[in-house]
Amino acid sequence: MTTLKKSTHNTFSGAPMEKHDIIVIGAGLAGLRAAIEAKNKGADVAVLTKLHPVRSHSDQAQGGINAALGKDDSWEKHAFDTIKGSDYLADQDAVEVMCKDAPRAIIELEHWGALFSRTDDGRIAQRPFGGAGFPRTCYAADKTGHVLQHTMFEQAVKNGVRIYEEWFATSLVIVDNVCKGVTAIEILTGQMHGLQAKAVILAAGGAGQVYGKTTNSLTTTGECITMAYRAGVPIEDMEFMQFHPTTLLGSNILVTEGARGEGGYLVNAEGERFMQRYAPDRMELAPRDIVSRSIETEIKEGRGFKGGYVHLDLRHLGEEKINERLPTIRELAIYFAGVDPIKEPIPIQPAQHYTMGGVPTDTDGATLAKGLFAAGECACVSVHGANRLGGNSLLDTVVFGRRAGAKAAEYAKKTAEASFPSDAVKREEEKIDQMLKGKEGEKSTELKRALGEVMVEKVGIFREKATLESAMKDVQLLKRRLANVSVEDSSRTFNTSLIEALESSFALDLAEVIIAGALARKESRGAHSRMDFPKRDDDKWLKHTLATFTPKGPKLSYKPVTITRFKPEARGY
Amino acid sequence: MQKAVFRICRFNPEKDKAPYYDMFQVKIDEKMSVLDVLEDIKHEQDASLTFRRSCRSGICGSCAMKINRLAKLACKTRTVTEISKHGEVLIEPMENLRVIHDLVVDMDEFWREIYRGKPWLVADEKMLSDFSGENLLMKRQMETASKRADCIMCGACFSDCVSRVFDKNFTGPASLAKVERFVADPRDMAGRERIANLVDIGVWACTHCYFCWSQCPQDVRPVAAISALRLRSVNTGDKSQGARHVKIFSDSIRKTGMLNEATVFVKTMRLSSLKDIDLMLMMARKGKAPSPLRKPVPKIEEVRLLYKLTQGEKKP
Repeated sequence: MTTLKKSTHNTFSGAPMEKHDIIVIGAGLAGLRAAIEAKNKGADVAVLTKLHPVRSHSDQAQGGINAALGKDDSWEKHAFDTIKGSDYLADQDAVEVMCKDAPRAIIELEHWGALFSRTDDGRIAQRPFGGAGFPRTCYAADKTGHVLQHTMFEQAVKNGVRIYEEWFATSLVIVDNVCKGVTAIEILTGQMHGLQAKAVILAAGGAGQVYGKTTNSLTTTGECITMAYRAGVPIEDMEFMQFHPTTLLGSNILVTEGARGEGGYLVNAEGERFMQRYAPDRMELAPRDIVSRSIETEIKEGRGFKGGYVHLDLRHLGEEKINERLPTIRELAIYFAGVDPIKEPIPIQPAQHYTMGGVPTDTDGATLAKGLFAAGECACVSVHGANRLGGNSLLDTVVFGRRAGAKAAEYAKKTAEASFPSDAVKREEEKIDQMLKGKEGEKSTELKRALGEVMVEKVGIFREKATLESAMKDVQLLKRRLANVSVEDSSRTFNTSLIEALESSFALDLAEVIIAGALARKESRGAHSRMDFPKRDDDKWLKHTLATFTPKGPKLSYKPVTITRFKPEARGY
Repeated sequence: MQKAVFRICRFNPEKDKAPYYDMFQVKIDEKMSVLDVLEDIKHEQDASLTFRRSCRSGICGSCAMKINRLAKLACKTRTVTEISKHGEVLIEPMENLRVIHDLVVDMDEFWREIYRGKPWLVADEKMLSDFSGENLLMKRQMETASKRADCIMCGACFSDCVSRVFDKNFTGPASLAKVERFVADPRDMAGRERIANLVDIGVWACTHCYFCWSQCPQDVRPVAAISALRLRSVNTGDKSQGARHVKIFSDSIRKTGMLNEATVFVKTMRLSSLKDIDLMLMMARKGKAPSPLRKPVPKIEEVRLLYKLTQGEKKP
C-alpha cells in the first residue's frame, strides 16, 4: 500500500534513479503533514526516512501541544507568551501565523482520530505549561507525540503517500541555488540512488545527538540541517540549543514538563523548592531556559545532590493522578532510574533537548534556495527564537508542515522537471566506497562520543569565551580525524556502522557552527548564557545569526528580527 | 561492574549460508539495558553487529528482538534480570519475519498485515471539513481505543504468535488490536465493515496462548481485543466455522457442565471431520469421547447460573 523498499531500477548514468514532484526527507509529524498536504494538492510526493515513520522522534514528545482553545484565552496571549519565552528573538509575524492557526490544527488532529485526553464534559483537556499564562497545552496523558505520530501515519497510509522506508539521504543536489533532488542510500541494499525532484522538503528533525547528554533519539543527528549547510544554504541561530530541565539522571531520558504542569516540585538537597529564588511567580513553571539555569546553579553552588542532580517530587500528586496523567513517566522512572515516583522523588538533571536554530524559512517553509523547503525542528521560521516554550514544537510541526507542503506543491506545479546532474550520485558513491574500504582508521563512534563530551562540558548551559575557544579547537581536531574514518563493517546489507559514520560526520559540521555562533554572540539571551556577557543586549544583538559554509569554516552574518506588536522588554517570571 | 556472557545469533546474507551464534564477554552494571550492552559490543568489540534502535526509552518500537527466547524491547529489558534468570543473555532475531542481517528482520510482512485492517479512522466527510470544534468524547468512551492505541508497532506480539506460525492468513495480534482501536472509537464510521472483515483476516485462528499479552511492552493486550472482536462478530451474525465452534463449545458446557471433545469436534468440523476418523478413534481410546447422552455434573444449575450472570455483561 504505502511502503516501498525495493527500488525500481530506472537507470540514469548507471545509477538507479527515482523521480517525483516532491521529496520529503523525514517522516515525523512535520514531514508526514507536509506530504499529506502536497498529495492532496495533487503533487506526486514521496517521503524518504532513515527509519520507519512510526519510529520517528516526534513519537517521543510527551507533554502536549499548545492552542488557545479556552474562552478566556486568545491567540494574542499565546503569541505574547511565545515571544516573551523566546527572549524576543522569535520573528513575530511567524509566531502570529502559528498561534492563529493552532486551534484549527488541533481540531484537525482530533477529527483525524487523535485520542486527546478529555475534560469531564468531553472537551479536549488542557494543562498548564512553562512560560504560559494560561493552561493551553492539549495532551494525551504523557504520550502526546506517540498519539499524534501514529494518527499522522494513519492519515499518510489513508492518503496513499509513498514512503521510502529506511533510506538515508546523504546530500542535497542544488545547482545555481535551485534544488534538483537528493542522493540517498537504500539501507537494505547499500545502494546509492539519485532521487530527482522539483521540490525537496527538509523535515528530519533536530541535532540533539551533537551533545553527549540529550533526551533525543540516538538517530536525531541533524543531517537535514547539515545537508542544507553543505549545499551552500546559510543556517540560522544554531547557538540556541534548548536544555530540558528534567531528564532522568544517567540516561537523560525525558521527564515531561507536564510533570510540573500537573504540580510537581523541584527540590534541592536541602529540601528547598529553590525556584522561589529564580522565578518567584511562576516557580517550577518558568520557561525551560530559566529552570535549567536554576538547576545548574543550585548544583554548581553545592545545593544539588552528590553526582550532580536535584529532585523532581511528584509524591503529593497522589497515585491516582500520577497513573492517569503521567503513566509513562512513572514507568520510565521505574525502568530507567529505579525509582517509583509515587513513593520517591525522581533524580533529574538538565540535558540537551531541542534545536531552536535550523534552516531559515519564511512562513510558507520556503528557504533561501529555490525549490528547497523546510519544516519542523530542522527549520528556523523562527517561532522559538532563543528559547522554545514547551508544547510549541508539536504545534510548529503541524502548522508549518502543512504550509510547506502546500507551498511546495504550488511551486512544483509551475516548475519544469529538474535536470539532475549526472555526477551527483557517483560522487556520493565514491565517498561511501572509500569509507567501506578503509581498513585501519578512526572509529566514527569514538569521534561522536568525544564530540558529545566536548559539547556537554564546553558548550552547555553556561558558556564563556575561553571554554568556547577550547571547544572549537577540539572540534577542529575531531574533524581532521574524521577524514581518516573507517567503517569496520564492509557489508552492503543493512550496514548500520556505515550509517552511524555518516551521521557522525554530519554532527561534527554542525558542532562547528554552534560554537562559532556562540562565540560571536556576546550577550545572554534565552538558552544562550554567556558568563562573560550575562545581560541581554538588544542594541547590538537583537538579530539572527546566519552561518554560511566555507571550506575554512562557517562565515557568520546577521539578519534583523521581525517585530510586529510586542516591543522587547525585560523578561521576568 | 560484573561480567556476563551474551550469545548472539548472527547472519550476514553476503557471507553466511546459515545463522550461527557468537559469544561476547561483556562488563555490565545494575542499570544497563540489553540495548546498552549491544551498543557497547558494537562500538568496542564488533562493529558489524547489526540491530535497529532509536529512542532507547521504550516508545519508538525499533529494538524488538528475542531475548532468552521471548520477544522484548532490548532498551526496556534490564540485563541483570536476564542474567539472574538465565545465567546468560541469548539474543536472536524475531520469529515469523525474514531475517535481513543479524537481528534486523524484514518488517514488511508485519506492516502488510496491519494494512489489512484498514488502519485509519474512517471519519464523517462533513466533519473533516468543519473546524468549528472537537467531537465531545467522554473518558469512558475512549478507554478501549486509548488502551489499544498504546501499541508502538514493535512486532513482539507478531514474533511470538503461535497461530501465525501455522496460519499465514491470521493477520496477527497487533493488526487485530488496531482494528479494535477503531471499532471502539465512537468517531469511526466503518465499524460494521470492520466487523464483517474479521473472518477474512483470520480472527478465529487465535488460540488464546496469551503470548501477545505477556510480551507486549506497552500492555496493549491484543488477545483481549481479539476476544472482544469475536464477540462482536458472533453478535452480528458470524456463521463461520470459528463462530460455530465457540457456540458448540459453550453449549456443551451449559448442557452437561463438561466439555465433550468428540461432539464439539464433529459438530464444528461437520462432514470434514470424517477425514480425521483416526483422530476420533484415538480420542475415544483416551476417554475423550463420552456418550452424547451423558448425565450433567452434580449441581449443573450453578453452572447454568454462571452463564446467566455473565451473558448480560459480555454483550458489547
